[in-house]
Amino acid sequence: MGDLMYATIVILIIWGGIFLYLNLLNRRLKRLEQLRASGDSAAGSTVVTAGSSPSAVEPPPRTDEPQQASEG
Amino acid sequence: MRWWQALLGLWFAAVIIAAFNWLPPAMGLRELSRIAWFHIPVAWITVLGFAVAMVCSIAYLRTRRMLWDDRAAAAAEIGMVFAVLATVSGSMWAHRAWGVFWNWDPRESSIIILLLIYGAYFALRAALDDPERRGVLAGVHNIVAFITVPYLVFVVPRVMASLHPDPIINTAGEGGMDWNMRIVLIASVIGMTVLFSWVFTIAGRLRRYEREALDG
Repeated sequence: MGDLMYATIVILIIWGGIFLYLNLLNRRLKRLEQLRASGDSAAGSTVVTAGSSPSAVEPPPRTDEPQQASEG
Repeated sequence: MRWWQALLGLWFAAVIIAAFNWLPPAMGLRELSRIAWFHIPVAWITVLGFAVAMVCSIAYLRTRRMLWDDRAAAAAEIGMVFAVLATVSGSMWAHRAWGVFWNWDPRESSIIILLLIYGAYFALRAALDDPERRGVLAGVHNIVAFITVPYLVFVVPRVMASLHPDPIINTAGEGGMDWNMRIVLIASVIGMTVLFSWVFTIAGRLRRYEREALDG
């Protein structure tokens, strides 16, 4: 193998390494962004999925109701 | 693809064409000298990555904002990856020029010590669960680690006898390159620096997402 061919192979290894690393980072980033997006949408739909529709969700019981009743 | 990414691709295409077609082989190094136009910028990114990591660690220790710790880890990671690439390309060049892949030349020994020091940085990060404690200890390690970088990269290979070709600024303080070679080298260094800033933003964001996923 000539020197020029050898130098070309070494330069290809350098660029191959850089592209491989960049590709790996991009893949991990996209996967995490997808996970974050699915996590956000799941958190946003928690209230809706608790009942059949947003209007069917019951409000939490008021803590001051028994006190008001005793006063009445 | 953004316009500057396309421009960066064109920039590197021009550098590659110039390195192979415009520049003549360097005296003594034959056609193997073409490796240098990419090996030196990769080594430069190693130093830049470790320097940015140290600056981010100092910023973390001053502000205690986790964002800086993420950035420090991202920059150190890039420094490590490029140090490995510089080591591999350097040893492949040595195989052809010196007849062996590895002969414990001061330049080779110093890069191995540097890889071990920053390998310890990632081992330390992996061993600590508490984000604040990890940030503080890893930050201090990063600062101490970078103190060794100028010594190992710039001092040791110049003080000790080395087979490594003369760096651009040699002990005589003079440049040892033709101007057309310098132009291609500087163009390659500029391109690699832009590439570093791109990879740094991706790696920094990735570190932040991973921390938020793990630590909450």
